[in-house]
Amino acid sequence: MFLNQIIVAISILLFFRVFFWPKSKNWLLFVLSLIAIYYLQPSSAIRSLSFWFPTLILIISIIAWWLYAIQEKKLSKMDLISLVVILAFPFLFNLLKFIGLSEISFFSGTPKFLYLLLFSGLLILILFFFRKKTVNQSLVSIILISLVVSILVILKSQALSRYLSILLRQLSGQSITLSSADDIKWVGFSYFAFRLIHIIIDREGVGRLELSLRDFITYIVFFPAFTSGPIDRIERFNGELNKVEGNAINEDFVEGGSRIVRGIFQKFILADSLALISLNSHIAKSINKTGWMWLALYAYAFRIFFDFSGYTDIAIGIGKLAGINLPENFKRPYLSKNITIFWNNWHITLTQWFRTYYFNPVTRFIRSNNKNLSPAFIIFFTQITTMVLIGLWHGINWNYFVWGVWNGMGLFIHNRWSDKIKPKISFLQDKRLLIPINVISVVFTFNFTALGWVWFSLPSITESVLVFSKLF
Amino acid sequence: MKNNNKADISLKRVVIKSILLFILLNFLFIFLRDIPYGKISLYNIVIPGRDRLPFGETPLESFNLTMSNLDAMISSHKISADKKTEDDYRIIIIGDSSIWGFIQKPENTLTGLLEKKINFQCRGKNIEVFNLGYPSQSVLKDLLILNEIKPYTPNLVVWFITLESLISKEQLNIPLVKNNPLILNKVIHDYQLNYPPSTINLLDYTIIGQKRKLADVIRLQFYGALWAGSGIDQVYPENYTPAQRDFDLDYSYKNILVNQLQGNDLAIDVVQRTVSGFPNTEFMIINEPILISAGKNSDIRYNFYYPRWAYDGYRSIVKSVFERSKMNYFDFWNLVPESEFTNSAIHLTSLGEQILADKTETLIKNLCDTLE
Repeated sequence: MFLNQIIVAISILLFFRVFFWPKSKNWLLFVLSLIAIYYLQPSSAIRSLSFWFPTLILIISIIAWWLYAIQEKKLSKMDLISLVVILAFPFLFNLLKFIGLSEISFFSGTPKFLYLLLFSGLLILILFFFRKKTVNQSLVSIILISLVVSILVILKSQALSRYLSILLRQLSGQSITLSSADDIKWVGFSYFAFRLIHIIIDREGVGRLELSLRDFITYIVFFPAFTSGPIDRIERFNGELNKVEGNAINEDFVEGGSRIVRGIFQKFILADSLALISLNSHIAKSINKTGWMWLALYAYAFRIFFDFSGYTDIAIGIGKLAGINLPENFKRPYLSKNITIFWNNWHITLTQWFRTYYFNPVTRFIRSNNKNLSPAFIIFFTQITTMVLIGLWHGINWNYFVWGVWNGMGLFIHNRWSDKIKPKISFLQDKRLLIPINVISVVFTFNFTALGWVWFSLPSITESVLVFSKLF
Repeated sequence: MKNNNKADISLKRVVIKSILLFILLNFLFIFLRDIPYGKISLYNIVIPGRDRLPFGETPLESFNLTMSNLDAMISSHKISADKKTEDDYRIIIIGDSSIWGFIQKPENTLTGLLEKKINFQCRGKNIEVFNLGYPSQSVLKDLLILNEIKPYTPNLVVWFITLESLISKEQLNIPLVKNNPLILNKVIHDYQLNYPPSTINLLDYTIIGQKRKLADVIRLQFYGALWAGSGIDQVYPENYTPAQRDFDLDYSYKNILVNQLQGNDLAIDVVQRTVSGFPNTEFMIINEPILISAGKNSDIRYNFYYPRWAYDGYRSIVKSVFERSKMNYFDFWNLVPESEFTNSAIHLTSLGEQILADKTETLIKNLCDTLE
């Protein structure tokens, strides 16, 4: 979210707080989130793509709701109203063209009326089909997960995104000579995928969530967390959504305000200032003095922290203004005494997600199917692959792969150190040395992480190696 | 359990207090307008001072930026590093972008070459050379810079001028001049210049009015780290569009009638009053080299900037005025061959800089010998 978008969101919520709180809170958040997913989607050179991307998120969400969360497997009056609101959006955008508002970017991508009618009819048909049929939920779960993972892979791969751009350009009758991976920018899809996969896997064989369509969609596309998290769990979010609210001006409101101010300061002042001297390709090639190269690296380390942590503060703050307490995502990660604690304190909801839906099940699977494998190897394999997956989630590129391996290796070595070596070194147990050892540990962990950012920040391995050669 | 009374804060009061505090802070800033916050600098303390004044249109690549806070600009320059000792003889080289050194690394500019070449002393003192050139053509702009570095007591100012930098009616339109009205008015007053004082809009000195300048001062500190680590303060393009050699049949120059250039069209008085304002400093005024084209219509125009009638007139007026007032004036207009200009009629190649440096060094040597 840009600063102007943040200010718009805060203004609307303040207005709502002053005049309507807490009545209609859930409806407001539902409508605001619907608007936000279209508003935040950047325009694309491919015709109507900026409309279809958010719309596809809504379609998949509606199907998921029908499969995993519908109450008593029938549409309530509220669900029908929610569905009408969702379907009305594209038509509303289209109608706005006639009153001269088509210049506003997020209205401009709406396709022609006929296509909208076809799309709406198709959506209603799908829902009608699901209503009559008893579907194989496991099969549909596999299909849905495969679908979102495949889309995620395409979005994270420059080459595949370009192929998709060519395909979509051909379909829309546009020139393919201008095709580019930049055409395919689907804002919020990663976090949408995480939330959806969480619901699908958690609901498998457990039963329905019994949520209204309105609240389900609000969870999936809740606007403060839509683009960059945090990734909440649906049960917790639903509790926040339907809790009893107090006064409009309460502690949450005050704390929300202070989190927003802190977040804006971190993101738009600290991070943006540090960005000027943060490690990048040009700086990597230009700087030829060791000390200044370390400065550029540390600037990057703090920049990425302030940027992301600042954004999370803003999201949590806006969430609080909206009456929703979102989970924390950062807990002083650079003061961690080891890399394991670091990864428990950095982008917490993402690492928890990977731990829950990849690391733990894979570890269990390997242990139960390969009893001869040593525990050390299993830890090595799962930690490396988990971190590589987190790396590749940022982009399917060698630099993110190596960054994942770097951190996976760090986690594995720390695991072995704390399990096997540390207990045998007597002076490390000396309580008098606790403070200096902790200080050294924090400095070491920070530097290990910072050096890892070298791989992360530069697009090629060659450039990263060049930076390492200048650092040491 | 939450204390609802404590948390029950009036939104109205919070908003009103915030707005009042913001307005108050802004007006407080107006009263602090004379405080030279630009002098607070990491340069010459944490970061080495720059070899030339900050200027750059692509900051992320050049690690440099164009700004208008003169205090910050001077503070970032190595001239403000430390106090001059008794054994130092300070030479300031000042002028436009050709002196600043467009497309030249700091060590290949006129100043950089002089620093390397000069192996003699002046009055028994060690010579230090500083590049105070800045990319815009105005002698009033040069005066603003010279006035700022007055506390650093230069011994000799080598001032490169050209017709463009002397056009009287354009002196106040230069961004660096326009954006420093407080300093400009002081300079107009102190040097008794014949220009109207600039109007001061107090709202320009609120935090909101100054936000760009404040941000630039902070950014300059950040880019300093990259400049220190890389030595880069400019983008050095491998290819550039060469200066124009062929011209239209065009006699026009600044709406001045052909062959009617007069002394009062030129801001020679600014140069004279500057020299008077530095009684303890020697001055050497040099007409900088220009590209003399041999292309189409070169019988009418020397280059993109100058029709022959205007430039010839300028040379004649300046020579007579400076000779009359017994100033050290030298004319290098045709010193550099046409092939040694880069992307403009005043920017020099490395060889061009070398030719200019050789000649300037000789002049400085002669001056020093005379003084001895």
